[in-house]
Amino acid sequence: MTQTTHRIYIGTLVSIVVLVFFYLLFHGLSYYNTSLEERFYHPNHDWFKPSGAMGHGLGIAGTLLILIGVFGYRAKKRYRWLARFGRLKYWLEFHIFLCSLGPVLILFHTAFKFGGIVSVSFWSMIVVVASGIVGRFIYVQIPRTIEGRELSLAELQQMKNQLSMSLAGVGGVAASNYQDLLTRAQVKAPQEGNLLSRIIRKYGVDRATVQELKVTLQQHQTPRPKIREATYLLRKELSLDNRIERLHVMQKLFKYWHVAHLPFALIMLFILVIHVAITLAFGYRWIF
Amino acid sequence: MRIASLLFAVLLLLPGMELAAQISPGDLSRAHAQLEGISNCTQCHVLGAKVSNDKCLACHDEIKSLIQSKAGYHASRDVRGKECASCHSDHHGRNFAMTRFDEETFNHRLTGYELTGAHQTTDCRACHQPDNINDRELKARSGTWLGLETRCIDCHDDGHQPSLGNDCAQCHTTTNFSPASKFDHAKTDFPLVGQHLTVACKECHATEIRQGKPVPKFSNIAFANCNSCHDDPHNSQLGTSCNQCHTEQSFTATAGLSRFNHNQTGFPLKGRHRRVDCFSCHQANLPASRIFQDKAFIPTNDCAACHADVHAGKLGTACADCHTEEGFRGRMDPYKFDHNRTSFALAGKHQAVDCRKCHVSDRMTDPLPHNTCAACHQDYHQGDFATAGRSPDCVECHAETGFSPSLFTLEDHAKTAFPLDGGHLATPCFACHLTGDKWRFKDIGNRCVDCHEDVHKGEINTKYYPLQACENCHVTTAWLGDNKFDHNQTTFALQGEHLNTACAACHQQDAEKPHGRFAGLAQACTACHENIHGNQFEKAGQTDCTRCHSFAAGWEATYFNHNLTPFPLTGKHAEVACSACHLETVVQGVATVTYKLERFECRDCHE
Repeated sequence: MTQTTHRIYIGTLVSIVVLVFFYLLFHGLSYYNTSLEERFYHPNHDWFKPSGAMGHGLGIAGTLLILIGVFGYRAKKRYRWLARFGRLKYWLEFHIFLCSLGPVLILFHTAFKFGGIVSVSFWSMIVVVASGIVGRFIYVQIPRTIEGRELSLAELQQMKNQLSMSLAGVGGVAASNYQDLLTRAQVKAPQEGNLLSRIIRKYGVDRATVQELKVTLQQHQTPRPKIREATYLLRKELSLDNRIERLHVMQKLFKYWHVAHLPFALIMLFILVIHVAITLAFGYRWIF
Repeated sequence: MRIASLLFAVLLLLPGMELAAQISPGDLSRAHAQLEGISNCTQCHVLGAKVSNDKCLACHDEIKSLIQSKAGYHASRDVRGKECASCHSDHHGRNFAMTRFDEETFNHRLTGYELTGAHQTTDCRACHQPDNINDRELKARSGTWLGLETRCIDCHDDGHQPSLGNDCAQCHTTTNFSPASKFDHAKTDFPLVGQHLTVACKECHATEIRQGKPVPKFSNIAFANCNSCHDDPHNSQLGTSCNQCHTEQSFTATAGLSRFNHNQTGFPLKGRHRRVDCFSCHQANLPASRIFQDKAFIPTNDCAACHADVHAGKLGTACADCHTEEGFRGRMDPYKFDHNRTSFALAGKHQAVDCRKCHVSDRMTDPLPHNTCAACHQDYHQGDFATAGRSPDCVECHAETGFSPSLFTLEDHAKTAFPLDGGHLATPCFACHLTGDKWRFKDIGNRCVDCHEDVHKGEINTKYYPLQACENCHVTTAWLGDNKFDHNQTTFALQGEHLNTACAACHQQDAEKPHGRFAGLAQACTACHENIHGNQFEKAGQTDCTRCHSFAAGWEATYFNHNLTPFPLTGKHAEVACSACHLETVVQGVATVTYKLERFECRDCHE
C-alpha cells in the first residue's frame, strides 16, 4: 500500500465515522434534544428509542462492530497464522475504525440516556475509546518495524545517522548551513514542565526549526523540490530525535496504558452481556 | 481471574450504586415508584414477553372493571385491544407523566360521554377533580381522569335543591344552564298558551327557600284553578271557573266569553241570545268588580230591559207573546200575536196566512194599507170588472172566508147584461165562467152558442134557427120541453094530440143522431105509430089510420060509424061493450082484436 493509497484508506475510514456520526446526529436531533421525560411523546419515539426499530438496531450493529474490531485485532496479535493477512498497522487502523464507528452507533443507541448498569458499559466504552486515542499517540511514539516489533535504541540511533546522511546529500545547501541546521535539530527539548507541556512546546520548536530551514534554503535559491525533500528529511529527523528522547517514557506509559484499555474493554463486554441478557430475558428481540 | 477481580473491583467502586437497581433502563414514574427494584421487574414484565396487559390490569382493577363493563375510554374502539404500554410507558424518569394527551384535541366521545355545548370549552379539571368523584379510592388520587359519573349532578350543583329529580338533561342542555332550552312547558300538566307564553317564569314560579338556598319553585304548583296564581278581580261574584270567560290571550279579551255557560244564571240564553256579543246586553266599561252584574236578576220575559220597543208602546210589553229569541222578525209566533189589537182584525183565511205574505217590509209595524183588498191582493180578474177604468174592491164579490163561494148573487147577476133564468139559475158559475183554470167574466158572450154547442148543426135546416139562434126552439128552462118551435113552419103541421106530444116522441134519438132525428122523417102515421090492427083495415096495401082515428087524444075511432058496416048496431048491441063482440085473439103470437067479423049469425056470438 503506497502512502497515497494509505491516506485515502485512512481518509475514507475517518470520513465514514464522521459522516455516520453527523448523519445520526442530524437524523435524530429533535429526539435527542427532547428531555427524557418528554421523549415518550416524541412522534418518532418508537424509531429512536433504545429499544426502537433504529435504536435497537444501532445497538446491535455497534456491538457487532466493536466485537469484530476487538476480537479481530486481538486474534491478529495472538495468532501467528494471521500474520500473512496484512500488516498489523492496517489491522490496528481497522480496529480503530470499527471501535470508533461502533461506539458512535452505541452512542446513538443510548439516545444519550445514560443510566443504570448499562451506563457502566457505556462509560467503559468511552474510557476504552479515549484510552485508545491516547494509546494510539503513545503507540506511534514507540518506533517499530513494519511488522510492529519495537525498535531498540541502538537501531534508532542507526536510523538517525542514515537520515542525517541523506539530509546532507540533498545538495544545494552549504555545508556550514547543514551543520547549523543539524545543530538546531538536535536542540534538546525543554526539561521543565510535565510531559504533555514539554511535548507541546517541543512541537512548536520543531515547527520553527523546519520553517527556518525552509527560509534558509529559499535564500540560497535552492530548487523547490530540494527544499521539500530537505524539510521532509528534517522533520523525520526531528521526529526521530523526539522519539529517541521520549522512548523510555513512552515505553513506560504504554505499559500503564494497557492496564486501562483492556480492563475497561472487559468491563464493557461483561456488562454488555448482562445488558443483552436482560434485554432478551424481558423479550426485547428487536425485529426478531 | 485477574480480569474478574478487576471487574468486581470496578463494580464495587461504582459509588453508591446498587447493581440490582442498575438493570432498570430508567427511573419509574412517581406512580410506580414503589415498584423500583430488581425484585419487582416481573410485577410488570413477563419474562420473554415484554409487558403484559394482564399484569397492568392486575393492579389497575379500576380500569379492568371499566373495560369489562365496556365503559369509559379504555373500552372505546380506539383503545380496546391495545397494549397498555403503548400509551402508558414507563422508565422515563420519576417525573414522567404516564398519562398524557392533548386536552384540546382529545376526543372525549370515546369515553362514552361526548362533550357538547359549554363542556367543549370547559377546562378538563373543572370536572375532573376529586370533589366530583364519588369513589373514595379514586377521589384520593391526584390527577386522575377516572371516577366521574355522567350524571349532571355529579359535577353541577342542583340549582333546584332537590325538587325536580336528578335528570337535569330532561330540561337543560350542555350549552347553557339557563334557559332550560329542552324544557317544553307544553309537555307539563300545564301547557302554556297565550300570554302565559310571554310571561316571565318567575311570575308563576316564585322563589322559595330550599335547604337554605333561594330556588325557583317548579314542582307542586297549584294550577287547577286560575285563582291559584291570579287574584279574582270579580270579588268572587262570578265563581272560580275563570276560563269560562277568559282566555290566556288576554284578561280583557272577550273571545273566551263564548264559553261561559249563561244557562247557569237566571237568564238562560236561547236562540239569538246565544250568539249575540255579551256587551250587547252587559255594559262593557264597568270595573271588573261590577262587570256582568249590571243585568242581574232580570226576568227572561223582560225584553224591554235591553231591547228598545220598536212598536213605540203600541203593542204592550209582552214582547214574548209575539217574538222569540230566534229573531225579532223571524219565527214570530203567529198564534200568540193578537192581530185583532190592530185596526185590521184578521178573519177568515187571513187568520191562517203567513204574516209575511202581507207584512213584506222590514218591520211588522210598518204602515200597511189595508182598506182595500187590492192593497195586498192582486186583481185576479185583471180589471174584468173595471168600470171607467176603476175596478170595484174584491169585497163586492168575495169574503175573507175564501174567494169561493163568491158573494155575487143571482140578483146581482140579474143586473148584468145576462140575467140568469131557467136552467141557468141552477148552473154552477164555473160552467160558464171557467175556461180551463181561468175564471173569465168579461166578454164571454151572451148567446147560447157562446157556451153551448150546436148539436143540431147539419141536421136542422138553418132556416128554422138562423144564426144558430137556439132560442128559436129552446128555452132556458130545459133543453127539452117548453119548446116554442112553430112546427107549422114545416110540412107537418101539428094538430090534436101531436101538439101535446113530446118532440122526442117523434124526433127520436138513436146512435146515429144522439140529439134526435129532425130531418127526413116520413109523414105516414105508421112511420111513428104501431099498427095494432094488423092488416084488417089495409086497402091497396096501405092502412090509412085517419079513416077512423082523429088527432084527438085517445085512440077513439072518431070517424068510424058502425052503422055503415055490414052489421049496424041496434038494440042492445048499441049498448054492449065493443069487446063483448070483438074478441082479442092471438094471431102469430100477437094479441090482436079482431074488428072485421065475417059471420054475423047470432050464434056466432051468443050461445
